[in-house]
Amino acid sequence: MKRVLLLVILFIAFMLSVPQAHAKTKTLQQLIDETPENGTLQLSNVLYKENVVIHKNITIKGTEHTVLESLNQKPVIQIENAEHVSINNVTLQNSYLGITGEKSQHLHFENLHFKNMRSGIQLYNTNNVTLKHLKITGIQGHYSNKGNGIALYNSANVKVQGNNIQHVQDGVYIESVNHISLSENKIDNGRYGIHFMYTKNAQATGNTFKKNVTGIMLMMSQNVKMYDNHLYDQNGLNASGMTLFQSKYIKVFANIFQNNRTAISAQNLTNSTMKNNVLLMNQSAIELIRSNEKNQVKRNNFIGNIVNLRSDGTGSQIVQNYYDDYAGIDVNNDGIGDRNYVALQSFGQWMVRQPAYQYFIESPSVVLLNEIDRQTNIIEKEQLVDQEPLMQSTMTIERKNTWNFWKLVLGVGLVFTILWFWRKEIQG
Amino acid sequence: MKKRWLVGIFAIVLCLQACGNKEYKPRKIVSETDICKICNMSIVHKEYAGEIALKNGDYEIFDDLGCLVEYMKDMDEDDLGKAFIKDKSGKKWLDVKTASYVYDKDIWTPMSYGVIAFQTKDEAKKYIEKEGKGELLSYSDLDTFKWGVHH
Repeated sequence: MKRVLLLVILFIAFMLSVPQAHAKTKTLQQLIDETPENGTLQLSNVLYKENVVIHKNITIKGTEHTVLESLNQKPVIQIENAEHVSINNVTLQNSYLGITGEKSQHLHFENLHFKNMRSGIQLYNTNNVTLKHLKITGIQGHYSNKGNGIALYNSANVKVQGNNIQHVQDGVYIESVNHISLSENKIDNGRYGIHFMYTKNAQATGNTFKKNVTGIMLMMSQNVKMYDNHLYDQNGLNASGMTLFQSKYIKVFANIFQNNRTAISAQNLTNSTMKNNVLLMNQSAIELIRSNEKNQVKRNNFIGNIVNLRSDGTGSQIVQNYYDDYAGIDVNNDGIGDRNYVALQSFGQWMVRQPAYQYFIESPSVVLLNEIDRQTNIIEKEQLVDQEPLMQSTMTIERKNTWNFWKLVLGVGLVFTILWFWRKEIQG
Repeated sequence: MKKRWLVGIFAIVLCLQACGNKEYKPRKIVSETDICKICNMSIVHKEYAGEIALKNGDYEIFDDLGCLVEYMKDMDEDDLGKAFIKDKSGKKWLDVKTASYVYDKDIWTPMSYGVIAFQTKDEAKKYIEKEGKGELLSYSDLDTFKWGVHH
């Protein structure tokens, strides 16, 4: 009898300890259909395994354990011809595609979690879109077999803010979009962090890109500002912090490029400026291909890179940058070196034409060649010449307050212990 | 003596054959390492890829027909072995110079140039008929085609 009672108690305890999904009587589609136009649908901790279509103005709010899954390769949520759709606090998981939106406007997605998804969100012909605080994690495998985290086509007025995207093909793919701002996003382990195509009037600020093939891939776009981004560890094969291709009116300001294979690869750019960037410990810092005199490389800090600048011979304005390997002096103390800095390196130029040569970088013969270049470059007047190199870096380093209470206690304790032993020694 | 002559002639014929027209074949695309020679994009959509087999045995890879044509415009014709492009199905390699093409601004390609290839003109026409839109192009039209301006 006692044994039976014990078993019953154990069973009840087990049942109470395991979280139970609330019993659902209706499908999500039914709930959506029953919600009045412009109404709010509050979902509880339920797992819905279905595909739903939204044609109306609606706000859907989930809770911590509201989970949606698709049964097939169709999107979990499909939005069509809607004027106002807001979805908050929902998890979408183990599906081919999360949300699609077409011919809709005023879409607001916030605090959504996409887990183990091939693609997160795809929007076509949409306007006034906000994608905020989303967490998107793709499937395992090579990026060629994955979809994009967020993909936007033929849309306008888009805000992508504070999202965390990883293990997808392109973090945010943007094609033919006008007026888009991307800020405070963290994108890693994908092909391209942000991939702009035919984009106009965009800005990317305060984003972090890590371990992608390319942090920002910008192609055939115009009037794009990218500033205060941190791009680091894009150092795999064919990798770069930013690749800027066939675009115009591009501004690359105050970004930090660290430990990338190539920090900035600019090809066929016009009327563009790279200014106040910190280029730190990259294999090649800036590569200029088919450039022109209207492009400016100004007041950047080149520190610890193997090759600072390289080009295919086409010209750009290179002025007032700081180079850590500049060997000149400043007699009149105006902060500008008295002789030119010439970044021309035969080996750097060859690397542009034959990227495979990068594997010989820092080999004894290349080091010798660079030294010969340094001696003979003094007479170079045109290619990769900075006539006003800065003597001091313009970089400002913010030091975080690293005071740690326990470290302090330990340190003080250690000092007193030593003092105590010392005193004992003296007294003895 | 006759035998020696025959062997000699046979060897000469073999040598001449080796020096004659080389057959160029496309190579397999590797998404992990291949990037487009023109735009640097990695080749993740193999079904739109193009290739140029150079006479020196090297290959140049392209993610989109538009990039391939841009490269061909600037290259020395003497270096060109053969140029290939994937057909609409993405499975078959076609000779760029003999293929037929369809352009429509709504056709998606990796660079959004909107031009896809077909083995024959009839196939291209059938596609246009089925889709109800599209412009038929030949290889010579690609030279003057304005790539990417529809955006």
